[in-house]
Amino acid sequence: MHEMSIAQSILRIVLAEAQRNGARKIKTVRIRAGELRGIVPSQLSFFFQFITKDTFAEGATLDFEIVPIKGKCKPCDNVFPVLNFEFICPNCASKDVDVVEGMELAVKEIEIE
Amino acid sequence: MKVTVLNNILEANDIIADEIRGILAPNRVLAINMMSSPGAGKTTLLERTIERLKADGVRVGVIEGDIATTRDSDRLRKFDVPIVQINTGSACHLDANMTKSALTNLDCSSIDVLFVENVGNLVCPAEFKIGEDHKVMLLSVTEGDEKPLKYPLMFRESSAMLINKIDLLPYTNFKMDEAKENALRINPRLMILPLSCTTGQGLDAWLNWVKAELAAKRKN
Ligand SMILES: Nc1nc2c(ncn2[C@@H]2O[C@H](COP(=O)(O)OP(=O)(O)OP(=O)(O)O)[C@@H](O)[C@H]2O)c(=O)[nH]1
Ligand SMILES: [Mg+2]
Ligand SMILES: [Zn+2]
Repeated sequence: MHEMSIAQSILRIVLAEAQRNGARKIKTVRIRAGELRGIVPSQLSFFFQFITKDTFAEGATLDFEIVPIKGKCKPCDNVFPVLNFEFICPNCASKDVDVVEGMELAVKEIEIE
Repeated sequence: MKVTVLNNILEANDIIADEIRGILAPNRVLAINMMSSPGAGKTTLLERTIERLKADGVRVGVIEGDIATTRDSDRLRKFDVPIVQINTGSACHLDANMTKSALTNLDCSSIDVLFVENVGNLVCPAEFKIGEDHKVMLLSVTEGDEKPLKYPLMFRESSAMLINKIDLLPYTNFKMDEAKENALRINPRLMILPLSCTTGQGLDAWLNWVKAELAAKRKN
């Protein structure tokens, strides 16, 4: 599962951040995940729990903020929510649409002690 | 205490993917990341493609990603082109790190087109850039036409979608128009090419696409 690779990246990031802040325990990790990423939170949490054993992040919970897809129409600059993966501008019907939100995958914040 | 981080989780991979671009750039190698569900026909398409491109004087190299076996690379040995095998172990996708180390076993100055056969999987490979110029996905008509809506990222990120096994169309309930429509909804720029590796139908259009992309890469 790509959730495993992603869990490992998250762990690397949060351990480095904890160290930088002199923390001994990571309590919460807030993840911002774009809808297009297709992340399954329960799966990611499962792997994260598994790999954090015996680290400062043991027992930490992952909180997810799922970011809905937002498109920007190239011809008319209209920014709109993309529902059902339908990349069509509701204003001018153009299909020339860039994704402006919904592709993020980031550690947003951690709570440490 | 709360600490704001704002760190891109895929950044480590993306940085290595950029390094791969740097490795391929001096020789202007066209890199194509081939993705599909298991069994959609990636290796068979590579067999047909290598055969034809070789005859046209295009030098092909292959990176074969597989969880555990060398079956697919064994099938390609007969063409006598450079092949590097990557066994991903438990990982269901290739990442930039694996690809970069595979590249150390390839002489990029002797390749025009590098095909990377990703692990058979419609979800994970799309998340990990490997320095490719194009993602190309295969969908076979035995898989159903609603796939695009279940796995949107791969459809969104691909340059071309090959609809393979059209020789089997009479025996399936696959609706070509719906599959195309669903895919184009997610990615209106997607090049859609129906073909059959078995009969050879539609292969010319695919090979022309590859050659045109190679020519474009060599021009600028
Ligand atoms: N009828 C028909 N069968 C095909 C076609 N292309 C491939 N196949 C068959 O589909 C099966 C799977 O093909 P492969 O090329 O091994 O598929 P793959 O995507 O490389 O599979 P993995 O590497 O395991 O993910 C083989 O038995 C092929 O002979 C086609 O156009 N028509
Ligand atoms: Mg294969
Ligand atoms: Zn518009």
